[in-house]
Amino acid sequence: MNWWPVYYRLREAREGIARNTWASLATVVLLTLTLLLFGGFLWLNANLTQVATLLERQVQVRVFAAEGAAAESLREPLQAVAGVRSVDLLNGEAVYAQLAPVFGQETLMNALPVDAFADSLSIELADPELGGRVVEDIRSVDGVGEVIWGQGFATTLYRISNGLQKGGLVLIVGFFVAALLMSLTAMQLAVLNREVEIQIQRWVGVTPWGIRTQFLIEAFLLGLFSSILAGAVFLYLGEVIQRAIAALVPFMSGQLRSPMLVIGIVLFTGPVLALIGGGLASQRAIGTGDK
Amino acid sequence: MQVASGEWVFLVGASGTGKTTLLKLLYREELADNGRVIVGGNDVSSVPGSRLRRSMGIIFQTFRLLEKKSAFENIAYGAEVLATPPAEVRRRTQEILELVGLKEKGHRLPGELSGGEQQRVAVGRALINRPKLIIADEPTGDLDPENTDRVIEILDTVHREQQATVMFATHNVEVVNRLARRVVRLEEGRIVRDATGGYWAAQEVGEP
Repeated sequence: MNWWPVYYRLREAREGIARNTWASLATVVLLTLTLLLFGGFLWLNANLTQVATLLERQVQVRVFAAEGAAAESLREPLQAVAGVRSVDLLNGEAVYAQLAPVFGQETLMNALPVDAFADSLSIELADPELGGRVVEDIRSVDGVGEVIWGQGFATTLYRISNGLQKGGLVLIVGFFVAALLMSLTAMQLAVLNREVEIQIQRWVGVTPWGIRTQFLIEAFLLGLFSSILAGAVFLYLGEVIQRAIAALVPFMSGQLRSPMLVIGIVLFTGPVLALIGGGLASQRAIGTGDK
Repeated sequence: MQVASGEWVFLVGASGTGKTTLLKLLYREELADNGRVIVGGNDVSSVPGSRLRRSMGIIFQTFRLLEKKSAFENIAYGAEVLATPPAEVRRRTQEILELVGLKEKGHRLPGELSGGEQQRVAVGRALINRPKLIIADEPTGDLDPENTDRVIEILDTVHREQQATVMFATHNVEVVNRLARRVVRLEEGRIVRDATGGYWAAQEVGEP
């Protein structure tokens, strides 16, 4: 097989990028910014959803036994209530131990004595959204004293979580379309800058596909380079942000989504966006038919 | 109108009379509303433009060179983009540089060449694929008499040695009268005179 045409196209694409330094640079900057915006939103959305889910899991019903009743004896009747997934006995010491990593052992000990908390039962609901009804059923169980459930907080969290899931998808599609338009603009700039080359190629008889191939290879290379740049930024910022959050909100440490998935998506999206943009831009400049 | 293979035809007439349009019909930049245009036995409307243009060399008044490529590279570009093997491209480019009288200036960028030299590079690029039909749309329009003569000389050499057909649109009455070839005069898109040799007045050729 004669590899010269393939080698020539690759070499010409590389030289084309080098020859049009400023247009290539502008394309890379525009594409990188687009990918940063797109990827940044993806990561933000993933983490907000993660945080909402995490907080949602924290919304548990806490039940204290009525005077004269033992918390342990309520375990079985509560487990039988419809909508209850699990019932855990929390003795005061366990609650104290749970709070220690959040506030720090020393700070907690200075503030509260070790026996500050009474025994209680922590109830996980099967569907937190139906919490109101289940809590009413729990209150009616014999031996149940005080029931603590943050209804307002829970309702707000479900609303945010649902909003993020539904609105996030719309925004991700919107960001992708915006990224596509920016990529098209960037590639159009690159193609416009190469008008003379396109004309010469047409005059000597290169087919429209032959001309377009070179632009597609160039677009792919520019897109790949942009996505590597954007990926590197995410890798760096991802670590910085995760460290900052771990320092500021210790209980969130290790709970944030790694930026690796976003980096993977960005690495894939960059060349694809550039290819689509390059294809559309060159189609406009060269046309589809072999005129 | 019929043009025989290996013939040289001047197209003359004032600006806007249809010389450029006629040439564009030949290389399928435009398609005829009426009638047929046949080039090398092929109906232009039914042949892909790229295939048609591979047997043509097209030259314009403006040079349209790639500023960041040397004279050698600009000429070679015309063959390279058709994936011609590199050794063949080098050999042909050397030949062309010699033909256009720029053998010593092949390494220079267009910005380092005079207008006449730049046009010779553009001519070289059009000739590198050994065209059977040379389409020249006022290629000497921006050149001084000396460079005009050199461009005409180059095209005449190719015309004679390779039996290339030449369609040459011009306003230059001196060139038309000196070469004494077939001259087709256009007026408002119509051929009003078609003659070989003879004396042509400046206003007939459309000289400004």
